[in-house]
Amino acid sequence: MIEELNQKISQLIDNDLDKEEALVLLKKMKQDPVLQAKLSRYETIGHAIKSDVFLSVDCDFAARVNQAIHKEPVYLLPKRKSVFNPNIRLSALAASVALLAVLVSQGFLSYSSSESLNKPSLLIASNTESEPLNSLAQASRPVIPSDRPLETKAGTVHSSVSRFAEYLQAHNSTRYIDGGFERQPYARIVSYSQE
Amino acid sequence: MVLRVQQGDKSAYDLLVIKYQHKIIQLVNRYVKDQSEAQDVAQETFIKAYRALANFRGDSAFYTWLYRIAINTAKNYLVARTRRGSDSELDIDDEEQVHNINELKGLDTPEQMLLNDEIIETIRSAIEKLPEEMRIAITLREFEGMSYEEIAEAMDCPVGTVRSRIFRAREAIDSKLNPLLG
Repeated sequence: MIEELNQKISQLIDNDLDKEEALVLLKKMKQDPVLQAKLSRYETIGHAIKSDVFLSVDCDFAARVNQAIHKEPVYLLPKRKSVFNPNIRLSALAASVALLAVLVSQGFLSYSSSESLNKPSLLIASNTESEPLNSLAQASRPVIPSDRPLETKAGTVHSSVSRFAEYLQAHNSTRYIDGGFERQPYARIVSYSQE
Repeated sequence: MVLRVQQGDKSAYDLLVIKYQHKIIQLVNRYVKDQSEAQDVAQETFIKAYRALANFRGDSAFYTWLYRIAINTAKNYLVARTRRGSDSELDIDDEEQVHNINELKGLDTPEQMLLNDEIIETIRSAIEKLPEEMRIAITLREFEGMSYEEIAEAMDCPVGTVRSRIFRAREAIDSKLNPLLG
């Protein structure tokens, strides 16, 4: 039995014991100064072989350290702080829902307004076959906000559209027209070739 | 064991001290030649390590971490001792300078030196008298720092045989050493 323990001490020095065995052995050694003295002599032999120096360790060294340690307060492993505490998580969720609601409502409004704005354009597009130049002029016509009557707007804009068509005829090139009319984005590529 | 200490089990730290005390004292003794002072520095090392153990994340092995604390504690001790003793500057990274200063301090008494020589001679003599397989096994382990597996490969024998040979070699040397230590 003692020889078996001594062999395990020899293995402990050489890191040849698994964790469980080492733990059991160290617990036995803590209770038994004879085993501690054996460990000390084995270590001394190893050190003497390597360095030609005899180094004695006081047999009460571990006890002195332990005495000092037991006067120390307990230093616990700091607990991991949760990145999101429950209040922050709820606030974040509420903010996300509110933002989503705003985005959805805005998207719905812009969709419904663009629906109403597209109607005149479709009407204009239906006339393009019979009157090419005129339809071009009509296609480039700015969008009319839905709160204004379409008929009156068409009459006032007609002369400027004609002038614009002439301008295109003269320059024979491609133009981008941004008919930003009261914050309603609207763009159309207009081109004309004299040939 | 480390985790148990981190969870507040102080008694687990006792086991770590028992396991590593000799290695730490031997390490510190390379810097602080006086054995009594080396033990004081080693004790300080263990206390510092205990205080810092909550910050030990296990990124390295515990002994590697403890090793660094021991080296720093020993160097700090030497700096403090030099400041107390003289105004001369000490380059603590210069091992030779550390060694010379320790030698000049004349910390070994003649009695200690005599005992040291006698013990070393006893150990050498015991090793020479060992059977060849045991002598080779203990030499490869202690001099070369080879693992049991490496020794088994070098000696072309099972690991269990190596384990047994090293243990029996230690026992044989210890039987000669123990009477001297009283």
